[in-house]
Amino acid sequence: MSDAVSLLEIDNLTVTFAGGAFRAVDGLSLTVEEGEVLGIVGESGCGKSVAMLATLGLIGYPGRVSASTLRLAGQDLLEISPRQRRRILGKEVAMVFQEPMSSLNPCFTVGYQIMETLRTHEGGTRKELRNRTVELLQQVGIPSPEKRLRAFPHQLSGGMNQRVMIAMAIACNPRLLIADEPTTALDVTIQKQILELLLNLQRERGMAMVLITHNMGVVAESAHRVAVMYAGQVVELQPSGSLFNAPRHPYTAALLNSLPERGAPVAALGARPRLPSISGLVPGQFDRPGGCLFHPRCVLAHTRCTLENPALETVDAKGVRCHTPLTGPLAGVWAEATSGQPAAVIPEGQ
Amino acid sequence: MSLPVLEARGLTRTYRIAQGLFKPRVELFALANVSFTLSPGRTLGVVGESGCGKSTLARLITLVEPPTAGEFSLDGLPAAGAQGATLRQLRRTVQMVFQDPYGSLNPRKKVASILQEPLKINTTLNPGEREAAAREMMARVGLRPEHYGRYPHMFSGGQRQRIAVARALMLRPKVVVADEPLSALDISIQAQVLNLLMELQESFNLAYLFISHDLSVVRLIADEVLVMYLGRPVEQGARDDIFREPLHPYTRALLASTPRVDPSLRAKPFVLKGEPPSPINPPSGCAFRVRCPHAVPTCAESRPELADVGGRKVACHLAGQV
Repeated sequence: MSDAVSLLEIDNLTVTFAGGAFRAVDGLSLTVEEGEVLGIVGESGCGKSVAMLATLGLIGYPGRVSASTLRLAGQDLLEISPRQRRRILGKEVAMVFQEPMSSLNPCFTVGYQIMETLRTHEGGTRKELRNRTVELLQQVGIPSPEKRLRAFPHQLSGGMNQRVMIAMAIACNPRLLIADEPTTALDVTIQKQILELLLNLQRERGMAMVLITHNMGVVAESAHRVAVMYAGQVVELQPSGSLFNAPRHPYTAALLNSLPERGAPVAALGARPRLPSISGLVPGQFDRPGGCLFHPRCVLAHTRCTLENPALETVDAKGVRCHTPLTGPLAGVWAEATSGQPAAVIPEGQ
Repeated sequence: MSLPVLEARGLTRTYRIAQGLFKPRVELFALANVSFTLSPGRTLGVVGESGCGKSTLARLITLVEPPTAGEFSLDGLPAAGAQGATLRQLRRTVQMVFQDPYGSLNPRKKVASILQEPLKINTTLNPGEREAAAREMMARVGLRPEHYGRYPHMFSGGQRQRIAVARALMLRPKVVVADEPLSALDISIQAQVLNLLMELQESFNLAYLFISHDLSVVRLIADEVLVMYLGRPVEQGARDDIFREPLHPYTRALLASTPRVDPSLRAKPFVLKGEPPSPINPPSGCAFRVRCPHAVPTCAESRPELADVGGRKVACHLAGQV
């Protein structure tokens, strides 16, 4: 952790629904540095989107948000008025949502929708706004932008709409861009284009980016640091390179092992291997276990895991929430898993 | 190897699309000239982007609609244009698993009646026999006996997909068409369902037509791969050949675009420009040429046909040269 103030600081963020009965996000602490790409991965329902929406103040009733610290570029997001918040959203921090088709307004042209952001935050004459919008459409790689200004979302493809969403998000040069599953609804080749576009914009403008996704490959190819979430908590936080080579949390290791990509090399040998899958389900509202939230599905769980939820311990910028974090490279884990064993791993100090 | 259970030759499906009140209707090739054979216990993986005709192929094979040209046979019986009793007979040999288990199960019916429905329509079994068959199938797909009387909303996505798989297998089909069966599921659940599909394939000797856009999954489950672009097959052959050395530029682009966790598996960064063209007004010659990095003038003049190159079929003028 650096001494300088982080761009976004989240400490002990909790979001509850149903009168506190369901904790969608449970004591989440994260920082995002200036110019960095932070990936947040996890399965559906793990709270990755809700955490970011809560940070921006976009969780309405009946959700309840509480946090010790919630700070964007030195501004306290817990204290500010709705009016001040509206000045920040779209300008300092912007968001790109998952489904471009449903997050754009079908009743207005895409040009109008981009100009709306500019008009709210920066103002200017009609002509200036128009020129700026054309420029933005060009930057996100939309061919013949003057013509596209007058297009409605239904006249554009999914990929083009996502480009419009990105143009809208970067319109006011935000310092932080939150991309919530930006490529999930798109075809692979288009997915690659959009990802490249986002990363190029991020590098050129020195923006920080939070990339929320469930696709391990997408984070591995783009993020600098990765936070793995499970049932509302961050279970592991590591630089991207070491996370994928040497995951320390059993959940991360098991998730990586169950990727079809990792099974493919074995399939090439002619065998029909079974993927080492994680048994059981993500806990929901009514079956949240005591102790470590992952212990009912963990092959390494012991008595302590059932009693006490481990804290997220951070050493050398690598955090893991486990009583017996894994050591050793993933290669060994995988080799053992394919020899018919469950994804067994060597716990520390045993 | 046993006799193929599914044989398709030159399958084509066109739709006539109205362009407007006074404009003539145009022919849209949703699927053109697809041929393949599938033996029991084998899997054909069909890969391509949206609009490439994958789902049209699934609709033809499952006898939802007839092909406009070409022919195919199911279990040795000609299926294109089959009618009456033959059609009913054939429908039992091919069943389908859909993409979205949240949309493909009737929310008003219990698992019990969802699983018994195919038997009620197609067989003369009595209620007791139907229940026994449904319960047996539930055990096969890893559902617990107490799930029998529950409604679909009481299940998670992975369990719902198990119900959908069980329903498809109730009539003991020989061919199962799975249209993106994993894409609505979470990663850890994907692995469970994929394992289940592979297990069932072995125990029932099923032939799978497995439609997916996820190349990692296809690489794991398929024996043969068919890559399609804008309704036409562009590359077709044994899985290992295609993944080891893809010859069509589109297959290469697909492989390079798939995000990978392991840096060693990543292909050379190669971003494909543009988007698939409209099938109503496809480019002349090779449909891929407008996005192809290797396109030469010949590509605009004539459409490359599938030809044998390097142990598989490729539709590219430059196959094996670039």
